[in-house]
Amino acid sequence: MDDLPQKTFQSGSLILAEGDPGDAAYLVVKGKVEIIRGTKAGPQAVVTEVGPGGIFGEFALIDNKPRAATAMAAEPTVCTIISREVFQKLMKQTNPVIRALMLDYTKRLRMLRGD
Amino acid sequence: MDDLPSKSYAAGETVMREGDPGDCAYMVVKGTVEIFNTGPDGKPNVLAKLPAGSIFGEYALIDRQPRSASVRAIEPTLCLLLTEPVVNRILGRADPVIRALLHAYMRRLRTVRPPAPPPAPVPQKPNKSVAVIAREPELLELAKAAIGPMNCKLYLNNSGMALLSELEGGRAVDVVFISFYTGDMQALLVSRMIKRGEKTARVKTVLLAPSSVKQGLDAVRAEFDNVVVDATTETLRQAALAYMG
Repeated sequence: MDDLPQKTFQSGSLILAEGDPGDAAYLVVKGKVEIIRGTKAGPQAVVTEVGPGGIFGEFALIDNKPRAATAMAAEPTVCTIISREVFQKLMKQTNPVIRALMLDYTKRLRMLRGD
Repeated sequence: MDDLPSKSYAAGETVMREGDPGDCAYMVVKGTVEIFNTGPDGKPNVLAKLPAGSIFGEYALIDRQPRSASVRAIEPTLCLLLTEPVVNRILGRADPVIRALLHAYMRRLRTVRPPAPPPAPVPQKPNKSVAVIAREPELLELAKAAIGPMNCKLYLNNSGMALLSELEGGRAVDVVFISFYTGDMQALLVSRMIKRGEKTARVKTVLLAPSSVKQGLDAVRAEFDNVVVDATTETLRQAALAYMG
């Protein structure tokens, strides 16, 4: 995993925006990321925080829907970027039990999201 | 994978039963299994046949719901038993990206629930009760005197109106509106409200003079099985609930 692309974000910078097309998931290596969702009233609400070892934007690997939320770096943050190609490559090297579970769970999630 | 717990099944042997508590997933290593449930005729209804390499019962790792279908081996079969500790052991050796992703997807499945099934339709019963709405307190008294102490309740004006709105245009009860006056505004409003909602309730307006309350209510009782008389929203609610069963 050391050869996967990484990206550094300054505190307060935008990582991805709600409505953007999604093409990769992000694994937090260092720092803290806030997941923010717009509300009808206008002001934005922080839905959750993701710290080191946590992942966000992972639906981009299983369907083609736009981003459902915005992600911002809450402090200086480093993320590993997991593109669909990287995901497919990692899946091929994965234990068949985990691969079968992953395929099943992503299929169920796709169905639940109506994609 | 040699160190993982596994189990052999003879042809025809049951692996899991619909309704059993679920605490592990299975992976077919050798052989074939058949997933089936019980059809409406009581006979098994085969949903799928799974060859070696397939996984089943995996939802038990997400949510410990009872098994939604039964599984049996249709030839000599070997399955891995994937309990949560076993899966975590395998995951511990997996790439951290894959580990984080699988955990993220499992967490999502736990929180993203399929939409709840629509509520069962309210069973339609024959007309067993009727709400009688009277506008004037003196009419209520006259009606009570005319009907006597039998199982009758009379509902008075505004409280009845409010509840009818709440019951979506009187769907739950048939409505008989009695009034001293022709063209009573409230009677018209109730009728319109119910008709607009295209509900099945029957609406009848009985126009009464104070001297003809008894005949009017006799006619109502001849048409409906049970006339309920009261003056509060709560009793109308109770009558409506009883009517809906």
